[in-house]
Amino acid sequence: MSIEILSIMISYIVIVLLIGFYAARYVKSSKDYLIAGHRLGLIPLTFTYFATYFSAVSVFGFTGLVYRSGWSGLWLPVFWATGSIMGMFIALKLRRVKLISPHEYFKVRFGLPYGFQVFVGLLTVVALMVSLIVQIKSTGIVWSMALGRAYEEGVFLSMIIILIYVIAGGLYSVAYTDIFQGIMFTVMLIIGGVWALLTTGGIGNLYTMVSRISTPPTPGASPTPSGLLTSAIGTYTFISLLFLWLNWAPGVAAHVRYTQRILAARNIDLSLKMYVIAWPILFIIYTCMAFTALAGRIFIPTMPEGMSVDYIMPLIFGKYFPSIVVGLFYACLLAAAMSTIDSEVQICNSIVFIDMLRYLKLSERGMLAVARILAVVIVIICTLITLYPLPIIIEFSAYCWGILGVLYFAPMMIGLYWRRVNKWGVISGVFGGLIVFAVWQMLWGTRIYGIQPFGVGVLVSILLTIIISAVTKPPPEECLKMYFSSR
Amino acid sequence: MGDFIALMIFFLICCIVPIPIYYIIRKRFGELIRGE
Repeated sequence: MSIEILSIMISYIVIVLLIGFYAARYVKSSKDYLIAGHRLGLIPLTFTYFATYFSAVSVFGFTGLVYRSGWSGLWLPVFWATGSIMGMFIALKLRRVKLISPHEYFKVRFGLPYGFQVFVGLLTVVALMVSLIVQIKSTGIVWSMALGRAYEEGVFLSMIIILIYVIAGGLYSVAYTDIFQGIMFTVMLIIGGVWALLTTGGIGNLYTMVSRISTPPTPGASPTPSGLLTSAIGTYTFISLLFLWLNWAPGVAAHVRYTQRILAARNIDLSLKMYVIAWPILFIIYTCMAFTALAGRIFIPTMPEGMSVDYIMPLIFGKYFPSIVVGLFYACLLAAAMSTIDSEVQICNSIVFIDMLRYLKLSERGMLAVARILAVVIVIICTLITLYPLPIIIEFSAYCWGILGVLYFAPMMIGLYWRRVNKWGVISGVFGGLIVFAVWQMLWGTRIYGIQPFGVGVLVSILLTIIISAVTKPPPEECLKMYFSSR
Repeated sequence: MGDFIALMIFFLICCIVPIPIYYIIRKRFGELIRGE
């Protein structure tokens, strides 16, 4: 275990805790705790958006994808960026009403019964918890890779730190710690990209060297076709790209992680500006990561035996950088993971709190205490499931993103702009989309022309929402005035 | 090299498109989006 790496990791943890406690002074009520009192300013808002967006799983996954499949891996962030453009249009309307949790939208906009809100909330929490488990696992992996210590130790430690600052300051602490965490991983990932271009002699040389590679990415895998790594289309076809877009863009547009940030903004203007500022930074980060992964393929044409392509970034940093930079890199991975975990815990917290509120007759102090206790319960459950995973949860993880996209995209994107969308359209869209998505995933997965099951589910939910709304009675006026008044 | 650069430029465009969209929205909705 390197002392430099350990000191950097500990310094990172101390700074995060200090920022978390500093931000906690803004929390005076349960609304402050859960949604930052709808008062988040531009800097914390933008950083919490893009730090939440960016997880350790995406660092591992995206660089692994580019290492294995080449430059065409850039299509994924392209799709996410187009999803965020749609997200701006959701922000423009959604922030008109000060909801505490995004799932309240179903009751407010469509007049759906409380039971449906609880159903959506429950599915959202389950989907988020499964996604949380994957993120929590990554903290254990980073900890054991950085310091050679037990995986469980990393999981426990990171969850205790998150719990401390989330309990202290709720969304305020999450947002303010995200400023530090966001700056940290942006700088480190840019360093990786600059190193890649400097050591290979620029984009032209990088391109020439990568285009000649034909070795397999991992021992025993098929050799890489020459030129594949520099092709913009790679192994995709038009139809697979279309369904891949449907798989990712709607999920990004209406994901509760981001709609919660929209609701936390001080006004609509700031909720739009967070997209404007975050995406050019994300462009730099993703291209830098892609350059690093391609340079990694030049210097390490095949991953060492037993190591997945997802570990290319840690491998490069460990091999070519001094230990201080390696320590900062691991701290950056921990930051990327923790900034996503704390947000997802906070959303689960808001959803469960809102659904329980109906049965609670408490003072403001009592509600704040309940919100904090819920955070503890959620973190304990997620940590236990991470350490003792049930096989069904691993299977379910493939469904998470799809469930959230089917639940929220059509009701928000269409329901915020077309007055005609009513509760019957939403109910049939949600159930129809979920059923088609689940059946397609179970029966065919991606085996039919590379079509993504989630893309099919979203398409079905969009069509059903439109068709059923058009053929049934228009929604009552009281459901429309909140989002369609010309104030 | 052309398609390599083209994809990067396409990605860049997707990332900076929010800027003109924001200004169009601000021009169209003005006070509504800046109000509390």
